[in-house]
Amino acid sequence: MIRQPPHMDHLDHLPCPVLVTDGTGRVLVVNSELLELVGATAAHWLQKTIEDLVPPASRIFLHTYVWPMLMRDGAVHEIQMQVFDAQGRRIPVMVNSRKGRLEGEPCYYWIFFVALERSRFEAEVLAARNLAQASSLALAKSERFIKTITDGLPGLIAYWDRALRCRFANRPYLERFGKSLEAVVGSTLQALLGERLFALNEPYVLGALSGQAQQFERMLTKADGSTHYTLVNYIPDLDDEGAVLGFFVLISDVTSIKTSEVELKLAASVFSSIIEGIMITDAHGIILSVNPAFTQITGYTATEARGQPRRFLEAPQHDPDLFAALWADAATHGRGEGEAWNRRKNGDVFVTWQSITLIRGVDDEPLRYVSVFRDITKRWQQNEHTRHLALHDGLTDLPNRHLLMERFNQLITLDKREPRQLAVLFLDLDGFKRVNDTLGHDIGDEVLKLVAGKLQALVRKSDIVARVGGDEFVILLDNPVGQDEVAHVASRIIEMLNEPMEIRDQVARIGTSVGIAMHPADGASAAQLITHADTAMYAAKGAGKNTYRFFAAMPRHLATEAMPP
Amino acid sequence: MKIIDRNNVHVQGEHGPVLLYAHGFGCNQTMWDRVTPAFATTHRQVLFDFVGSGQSDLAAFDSKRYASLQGYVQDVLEVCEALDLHSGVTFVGHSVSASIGMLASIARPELFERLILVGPSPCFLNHSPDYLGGFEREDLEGLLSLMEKNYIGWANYLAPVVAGDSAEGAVSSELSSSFCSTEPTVAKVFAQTTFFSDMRADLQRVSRPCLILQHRHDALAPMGVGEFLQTQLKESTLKVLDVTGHCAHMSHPALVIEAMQAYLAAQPAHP
Repeated sequence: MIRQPPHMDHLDHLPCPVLVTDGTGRVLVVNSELLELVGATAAHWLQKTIEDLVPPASRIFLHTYVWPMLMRDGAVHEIQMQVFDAQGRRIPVMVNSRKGRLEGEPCYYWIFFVALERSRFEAEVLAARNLAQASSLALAKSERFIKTITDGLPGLIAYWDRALRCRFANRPYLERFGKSLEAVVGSTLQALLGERLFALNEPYVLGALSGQAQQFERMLTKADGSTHYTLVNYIPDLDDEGAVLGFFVLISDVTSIKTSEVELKLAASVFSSIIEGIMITDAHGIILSVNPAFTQITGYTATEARGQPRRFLEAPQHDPDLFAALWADAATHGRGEGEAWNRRKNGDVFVTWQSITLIRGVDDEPLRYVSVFRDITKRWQQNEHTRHLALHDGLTDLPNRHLLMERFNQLITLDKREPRQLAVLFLDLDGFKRVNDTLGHDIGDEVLKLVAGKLQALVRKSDIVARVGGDEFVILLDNPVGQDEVAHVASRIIEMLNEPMEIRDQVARIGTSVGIAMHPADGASAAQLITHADTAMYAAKGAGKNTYRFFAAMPRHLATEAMPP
Repeated sequence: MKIIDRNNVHVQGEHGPVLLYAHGFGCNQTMWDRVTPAFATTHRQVLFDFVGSGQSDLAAFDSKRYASLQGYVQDVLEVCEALDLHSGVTFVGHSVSASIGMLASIARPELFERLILVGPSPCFLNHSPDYLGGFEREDLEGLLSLMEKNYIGWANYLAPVVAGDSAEGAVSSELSSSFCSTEPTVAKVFAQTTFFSDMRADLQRVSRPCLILQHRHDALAPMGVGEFLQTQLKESTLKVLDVTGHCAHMSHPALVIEAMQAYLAAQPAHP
């Protein structure tokens, strides 16, 4: 059995594991403390090498680091390795070794310090270092990430500390001031803005430094003359105690918003000040909003109108189809325009000129209808008046020859669909010239008016009384029962007109001669019938006046004579 | 940066055939200090540090380039280029540098006359049952963590030395900086390249004669590995040194010198 040299027994008194090997690592001596650590007996270890005490990783480390150092320099200090303990566990140890001599032969003294606590601590230090490295990497990465984001944003972003020194500026911010990052970060706000701009911004800066978020607008005129609006935010950066560390700056170009705001305001003022009524409905025609002119025209307030269907103004008895056609045009062609009859809140019917436009949404689906309308009732009435004047006799307000012909032709047209009789009575006043000459034109005019009234009172509503000449009238009887009834009417006319007329203390007496043509017997056209009635009237005159004659009853040669050349 | 400075190249002697020494993982060119005196008069001897080791220029370290043995092969070839060496070089490499030398000879066969491989291993990992490099992957990962821990230890140890407080520390400072204390990230790359590389498939392509100096008891490159190498290398001689350990050139320089001299004498210079 191999025994270790007896004079080495004193190593057993040392309070740490000790080992002596030769230059190849063969174990020469072990102390009791080492045996306590690694187990087994001294005799067991004296046949082994130091490699057998350590796990493979430490074995490599021994050969690549420890032995070369020992062989070159004769000593190593505080090398960390692992040894297997008696239970085969890996125990961290610190190792010192020094070259020496044993019984005249070179040898190496190895001292182990079991470094469980220390290794744990160092492992923590190492883990902490790795963690610190990892987090500093992560931080750098996240800073790069934040920079990438902020550089990519269109807004200007910066951070100024309490001392008004820049700590951060994104690319747009730097570009705005035309400076490099190095020139801006670390420099003062005064230096960056210049005296004038700094003085302008100073109140906001002081506000931010006192912990209050600031917001203000600036209008800038660029070199190209264009005007830009910026919205500036100063957001204070507070620590946990609420002390201000600095403030973030966010500057946004709000030119487009500002411009559209202006446009919106303009549009709103147009909406409220325009004299046309405006009604905006949703795609289903439910009213969303109306303007003041709408209220003025219709009498309905915005509150009353909102939520109502678009037809609520409609006066359906007046051309309901027209109204529907307008909206249909808007729905299919995007725009509809035309007259429409509406009813005010007070019940009055009025005419509008209405233009309806369809507005589509972003998805091209119908979104809104905008109906703009003007009250054209007055103009319409004026037009009607002018029309009336053109078709009526100014003195008696009876239809004139134009209107007579128009109605006459209409009736003849109707006859083609639904056969009917028509009687044309041509009247020429007898003795009217004398009234004019003796009583004056004023009285004459009054006589004509009275005649007109009397004639109208005599006939039905569907009949027409027209004045076609100075003292000539034409009466159209629509669908008289027969010639007898016509004769009866003619007699009644003569009778009525023969009654003396008292005008301004004067008495006028007249008579009348009446010529009658019947349709369809006496002619097919209005002109022909009137001519024949005229002819018959002359026959009545020839027969002594104040009487009537039927054209049909006239002798043939007279009737032919009366034909126009 | 010149290669000469980058790789801390030293040339000893002006005449004779060239011996180019390459250190292994964990060390530097000073590991050859006990061998080189024996050839001072007969050979021109070139020593250098791989980039990342010893006194090389750390700034030249490129973790991509040195993540493969080819990066170190490049160092060898660039040193030869810088010294205008084109043929007749005898490469002496320890441990992983044996592999680096063999790969360099495959790349530039005409440059090398022969190779002397001290404690070579083409692959440190076990690929059982065919090949037993000696270690499992987790052992090598344990080594990386040990290296990291020891770097911390040295850093703590060095702190007072830098302040100039301790005379005892000054010794250690020199020791650490000259020998083992490389930047841990750099050492880690070299460790990974060394221990995770496998160049067994390249052995057939080595055309230059090799002397394998095998340690009898070597935990890093066991006997079986030397024997395997001999079967794979065409023109190789296996010489077993009666040494326990992995650094015979340091622990038993005389044995190494004797074997080298015998090999250099017996082997006629290649045409």
